[in-house]
Amino acid sequence: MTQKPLISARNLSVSFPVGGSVFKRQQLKAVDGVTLDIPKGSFFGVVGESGSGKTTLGRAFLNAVPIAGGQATFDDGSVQFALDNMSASDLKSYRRLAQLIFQDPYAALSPRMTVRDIIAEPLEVMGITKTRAETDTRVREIAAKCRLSLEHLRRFPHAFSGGQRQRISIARALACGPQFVVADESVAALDVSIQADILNLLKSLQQDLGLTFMFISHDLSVVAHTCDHVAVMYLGRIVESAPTRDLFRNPRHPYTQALFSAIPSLDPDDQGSAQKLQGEIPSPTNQPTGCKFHTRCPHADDLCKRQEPALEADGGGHQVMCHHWKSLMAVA
Amino acid sequence: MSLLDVQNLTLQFKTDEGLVTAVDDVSFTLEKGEVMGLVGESGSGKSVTAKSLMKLNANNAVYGSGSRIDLQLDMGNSVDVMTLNRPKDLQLVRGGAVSMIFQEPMASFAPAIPIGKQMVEQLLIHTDLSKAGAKALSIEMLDRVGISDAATRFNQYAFEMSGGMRQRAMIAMALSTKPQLLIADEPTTALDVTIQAQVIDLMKELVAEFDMGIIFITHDLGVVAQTADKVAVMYLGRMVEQGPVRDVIRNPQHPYTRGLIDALPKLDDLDAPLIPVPGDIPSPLERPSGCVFHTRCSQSLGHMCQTQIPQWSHRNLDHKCACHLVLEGAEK
Repeated sequence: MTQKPLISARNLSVSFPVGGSVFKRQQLKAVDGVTLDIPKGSFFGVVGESGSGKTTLGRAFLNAVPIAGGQATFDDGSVQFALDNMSASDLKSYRRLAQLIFQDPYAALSPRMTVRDIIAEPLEVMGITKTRAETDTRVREIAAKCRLSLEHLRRFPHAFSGGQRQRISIARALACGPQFVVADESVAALDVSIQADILNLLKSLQQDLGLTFMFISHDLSVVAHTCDHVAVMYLGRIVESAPTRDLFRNPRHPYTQALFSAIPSLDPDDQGSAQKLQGEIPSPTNQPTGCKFHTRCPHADDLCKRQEPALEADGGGHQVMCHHWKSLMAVA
Repeated sequence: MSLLDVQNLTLQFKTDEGLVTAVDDVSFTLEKGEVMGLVGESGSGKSVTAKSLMKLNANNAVYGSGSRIDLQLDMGNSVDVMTLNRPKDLQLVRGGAVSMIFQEPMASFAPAIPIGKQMVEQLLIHTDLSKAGAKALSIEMLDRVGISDAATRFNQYAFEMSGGMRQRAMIAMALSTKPQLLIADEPTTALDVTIQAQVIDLMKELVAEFDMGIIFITHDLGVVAQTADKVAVMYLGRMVEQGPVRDVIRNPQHPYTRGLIDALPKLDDLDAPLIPVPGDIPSPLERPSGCVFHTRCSQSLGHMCQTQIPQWSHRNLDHKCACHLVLEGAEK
């Protein structure tokens, strides 16, 4: 990883106030002390169960949720932004550089706007194009990249299938020419047959336009096929982070191993030999002490209950947050 | 005699645009203790087929005159669901002999009534149990599906439970009336992989224990491989391939089945390209003539596929496929 990071976070935390009265109000730590670098031009995957804080992390990088602590910066070589401390005018210019693709293409598009208007809206709102002719040229250009025809641009979203709608939302996100795109579960709502198509499209757009993607997903097999680098999140922490191949060949954290064993195999005779995870992710308002994963970890001991492990790195960019990963790897 | 024998099921919906065919000449059987996976993209008619078994489709549904659905009731006598019309007669089937689990557990429980009250209500309708007996059975079932502290949970509302727990409660509720047939409509799609693995294990255990038939609707072939004994693949209202799960997954005959398998990201080969099924599923208003799949089929034989509906060809006793290409191959 010699590339300069486009996004980098140091000890980043995001919390939300929860609870009824002002006096009883607790802080829910959705993202808790995350340190990570997203290299420029990479396809960076973030996986985890619901409630692990992956969406909140993505939103923090887009400055769509208030950052409670730590630093996050955006640096594409010519402009820098400190995401944790941003003025209103900075935010306005940052919006052109960082965009979001939503999960549900059925909910993300206004039913009352034509596809052309949907894609043109960010251009007009941000004042990127001055005349209608200019807007139209830009819209057609980006639509063609997302395989939408001129005929499609005249229609309303209801006339499209899920895969086509997702292509419209991708076109909208890319219309203003961003550098950094957060794709939040962008294929989760699609059929497998269409999912492959959208993944291939995202990948080719990334290469053509030199984009940096943060790809949030709960599906490890999807992440394995698209991303260069994967971070696994659990209860607001990154518990393991590694180049994709490394992670899939050699998962070190017991949580990552459990996620792998939970993927249903296509072979009916392969019953999933490894241990399956018991229980559910604890509530973020009532987090376990020590290692956050110890309540569900088959290898947990007293040390795990008392003390939180640090994120250990090796030379190859593989980081893991577990007291026992070395001894566990030795056994395996 | 089979538990369920569906013959030539055809179903059309009356809409403003005319009659829309949702299910076209579908036949299959299901034995006791057998799990059938029903696979296909959204819009392929899987849910509509399953709902027909309880005549749960909307009022504008028109069933074809040759359709028969013979369902065995618990005392050994059987009934043709198609001939039932009065709500009182249908009650024998709906929630009695057949139960259904839906995809979104939050949407299928009433939000303002405690879970337990909903479970008791259906038991009072479908069984002769007293109120106290129904409560005892409900708590026992909640306990059986792995919900800890079932007596407390009995009085809770759906919003107080996590997604996985709600789906467990849904399963407990569906099974408490001891149905002959359970229809599970994408029961794990909204869940995390780890929770999905738990729910799948639970369902496998319960089939063995209760000895009922299950129709498992999903678009995830991995889930099918892990749960089902046999598979039926649907496309645009027609069944295109049927057979034992090992045959269909290891030796898919129909180009559509093969397409679905190829589109799936595989973990053992990260470099394998994802091959989407080209194009989108056509609108049911513009059903292709001949083989319904010919518009997206890469191996279409031209005129024959465009004009003639392919007949079933048997690869072996149980494994059959409706495709001209396979028929041609068999004759040569």
